[in-house]
Amino acid sequence: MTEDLSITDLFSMSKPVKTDTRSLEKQLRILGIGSPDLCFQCSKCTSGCEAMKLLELEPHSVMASVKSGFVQEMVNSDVLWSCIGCYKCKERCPQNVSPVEIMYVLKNWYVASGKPIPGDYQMMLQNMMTKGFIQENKEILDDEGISKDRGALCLPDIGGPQDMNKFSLIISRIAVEKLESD
Amino acid sequence: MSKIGVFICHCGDNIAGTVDVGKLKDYLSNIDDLVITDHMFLCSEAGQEQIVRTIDSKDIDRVVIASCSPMHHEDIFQNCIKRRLNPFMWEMANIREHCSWVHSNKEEGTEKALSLIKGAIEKVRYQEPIDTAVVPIKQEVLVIGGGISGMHASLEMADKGSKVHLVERGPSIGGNMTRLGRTFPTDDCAMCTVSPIMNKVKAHPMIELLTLSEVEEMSGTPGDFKAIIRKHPRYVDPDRCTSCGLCVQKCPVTIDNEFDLGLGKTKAIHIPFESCVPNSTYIQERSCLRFQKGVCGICEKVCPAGAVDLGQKEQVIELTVGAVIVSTGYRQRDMSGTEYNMEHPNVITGLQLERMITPSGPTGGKIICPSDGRIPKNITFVQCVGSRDRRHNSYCSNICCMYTAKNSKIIRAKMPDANINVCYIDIRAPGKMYEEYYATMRENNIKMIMGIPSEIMDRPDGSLYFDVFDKATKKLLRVDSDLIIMATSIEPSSGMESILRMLHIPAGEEGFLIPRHVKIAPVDTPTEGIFTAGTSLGPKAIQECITDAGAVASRVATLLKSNTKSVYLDTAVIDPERCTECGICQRECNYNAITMDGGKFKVVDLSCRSCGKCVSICPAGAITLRSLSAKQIKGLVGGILSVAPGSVIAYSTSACGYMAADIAGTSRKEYPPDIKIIKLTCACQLTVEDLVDPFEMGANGILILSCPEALHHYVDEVKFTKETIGKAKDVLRKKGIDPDRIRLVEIVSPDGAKLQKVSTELSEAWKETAEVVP
Repeated sequence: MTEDLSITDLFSMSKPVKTDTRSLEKQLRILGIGSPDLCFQCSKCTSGCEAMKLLELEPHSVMASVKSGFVQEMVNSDVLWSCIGCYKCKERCPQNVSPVEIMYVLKNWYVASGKPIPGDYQMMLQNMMTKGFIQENKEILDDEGISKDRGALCLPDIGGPQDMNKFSLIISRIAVEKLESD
Repeated sequence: MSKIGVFICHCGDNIAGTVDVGKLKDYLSNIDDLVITDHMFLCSEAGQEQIVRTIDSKDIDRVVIASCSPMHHEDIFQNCIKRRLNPFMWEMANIREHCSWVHSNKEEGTEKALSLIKGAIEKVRYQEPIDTAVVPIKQEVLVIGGGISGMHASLEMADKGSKVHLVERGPSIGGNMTRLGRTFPTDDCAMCTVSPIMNKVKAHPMIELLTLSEVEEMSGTPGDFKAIIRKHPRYVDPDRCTSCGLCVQKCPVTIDNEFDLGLGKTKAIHIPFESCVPNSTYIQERSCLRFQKGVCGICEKVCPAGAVDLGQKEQVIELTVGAVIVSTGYRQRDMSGTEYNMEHPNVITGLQLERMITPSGPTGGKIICPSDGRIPKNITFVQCVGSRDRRHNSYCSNICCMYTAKNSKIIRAKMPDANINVCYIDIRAPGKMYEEYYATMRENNIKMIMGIPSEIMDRPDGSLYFDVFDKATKKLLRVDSDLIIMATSIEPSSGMESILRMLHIPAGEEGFLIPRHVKIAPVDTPTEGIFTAGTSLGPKAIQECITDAGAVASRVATLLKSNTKSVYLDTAVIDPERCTECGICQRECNYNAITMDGGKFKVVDLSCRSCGKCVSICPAGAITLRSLSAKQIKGLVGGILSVAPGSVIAYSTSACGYMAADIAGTSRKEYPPDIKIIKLTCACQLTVEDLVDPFEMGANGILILSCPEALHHYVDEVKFTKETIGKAKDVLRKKGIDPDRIRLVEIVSPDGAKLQKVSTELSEAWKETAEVVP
């Protein structure tokens, strides 16, 4: 049974579902992840969010949405998948909330509901299974706009899985275990 | 032979309507040593006269008054009994609020009234006379910390005629307020406000000013504290020094100016700041060549007034004072090593900005970039730096919103073309004239950004920038700044830990002092005779510090109103024969009311609040409350159960549980008559025996109606009582008694309805199961 929260989103005409927030919070408790309850919307996470700059991810807004019951909306939102998992939001949050981990949980909910993993992620998965990396090493731009590779940044070469078959086998096994345990 | 006078009040038909007074008298007449009388209105003049006359004529030495609640007429009856007997040789049985008003069945009402009276008789039987002690009160005050709170409290006390010893750690009094440029919400010059106060303190004949001094040791009892003060040498005689500055000119050692928070330079011998008090130079020993390397001494040679004295020695001063005021103030949290880039010279704190704003400060009142002295064009304020942040200080620092409003306005006035940004989470402006003040800030073309940055970055050219998401425009903004002012969190001063240790007073997790009660005793510490004011209690603005200081002076004056103070010894007392000197009571007392005196532990009567925690915790059972001993509790419970076996004993705290039962009475909320309310000062005093014995005497259950934990009437009473209950339950389990028959209910005094609901439910449940148990 859903509680009537006397709120309607006039853009989508949807109503928040408090039970979704509750089951999310229950799962976060089990996983030991900082609850969004304490979030007071300072937007520090969004200020520093690497995915915000390119793909307009607003972690503080995701926190507000899941707090107020618009959980399904977030689960089905494309923008969640732009999180690059840098964990800056968690490190800097003054209220010990962990947007990055909460978004992982939401993404898992999405996959668990049987929906297809978004295209770019499929590609990353494929790269991972065949090459051991989600993507090839790329050059990056510094503050002056000059392109630099790992060598120019004095970083060592990255190795890779020695036995590709064994590597993909282990990864698959972990994925199956995860699905079964969920 | 001693006789107990029992006086039963009809209270019109308030009592007599439900309680058959005639029957009560019949039942009680079977007991030999009782003298029983009744009166229509016992509280009336005639009723009181009857009590006195009966005491005289019947040779009575103990009294039971069966009438209304003691909350109502305790004073009247105590004053009446005091005319003939010791003021504690009586007991009140509440047969109105706790009986006639909550029961409608006359038979049940009469039986309950009888049981309550029987309990009171058995309690008063074991009452010993309680003496009055006369405690000397020293008419002197020690004030620790010479900031605005300490100065104001000192002046107030000195004006009231008390000798004040004002101890200040630094070379001048004045505190952090002397660092400020202007103050909100009036924008007046801080120095113009504080300087006259400093001079008044210096000139006051009743104030002894001890600068460069620290309290090293404290002992004694309220009214008679001994303090040992260490006074560090100034190496300059302030009475001779004319502040000409020649010594400063000639001193070869340049150091960072502590007063300017690293923004300016000064010499090892220097004047702390303009218009400091005492107005004199002093030598910073740790930088001076003479004291570090044994060379130099130029200052002594050049001083035209002969004021420099490098041979000065440390002094140890012993003081005896009646009261202590702690006003040790605050500091700003060191936020270096965080994402805020405090290491960058152009990232400064709010207090550093104050030094720049002050015309007499290191920049002559000019706002500059400390890195190279250029005038900044883009100036940004960042709020809540380390405040409201669980990784640093989770509380709000209270004053930052308003001082940022003030400083941004001052900068706008000085620099009409500058870009001024403020990054914030919420603007908090709840004080008098504050919201209006915030409105004037908004009229000053200051860009308000609703969000705070994740990190502050700098470029090789020294310029600063950060990204911030503005919730108002929903844009990610890059903010370039030449100067960033951080509203860093406010913390207690660095000496707070040693103050806590010396004075045995508690602080919260955040390090600020905890008052005896946040609302109704906000400037008292839990230890009698030790008070506190200003930012040692938490972040607050100047006007609140002044309010605190005035309040603290009034509280101290109440204690110091005469050379002695009479106190009833209705406190705890330690039996020296049984005491094993384990020291647990002293460690656990929340009021620092147990002291070692002549090799024995003793209760400090002025400090003891009769909560009874020591009674419960003493492993030797050596401590008793004079007004409610273990014997008396047993008598009271036994008396009740002898008339009404199967009752539920409801131990109730006087501040909450007992009051709730009174309210249930006045609002006629009926509950089962087997609930028998017993008044305690605090639930702390309950021992395992108090919780186990009633079952052996025939009780059907024990209810503890305690104050809610959040109220902290006696600091940690609920937590402590729960521990005792846990132990009692173990004993019950071993005895084969259902441990769930003890229940603690936290209740607030107006909640008569909760009392009705809880007691009805428990009484019914316990009654049902009682029939099953043989």
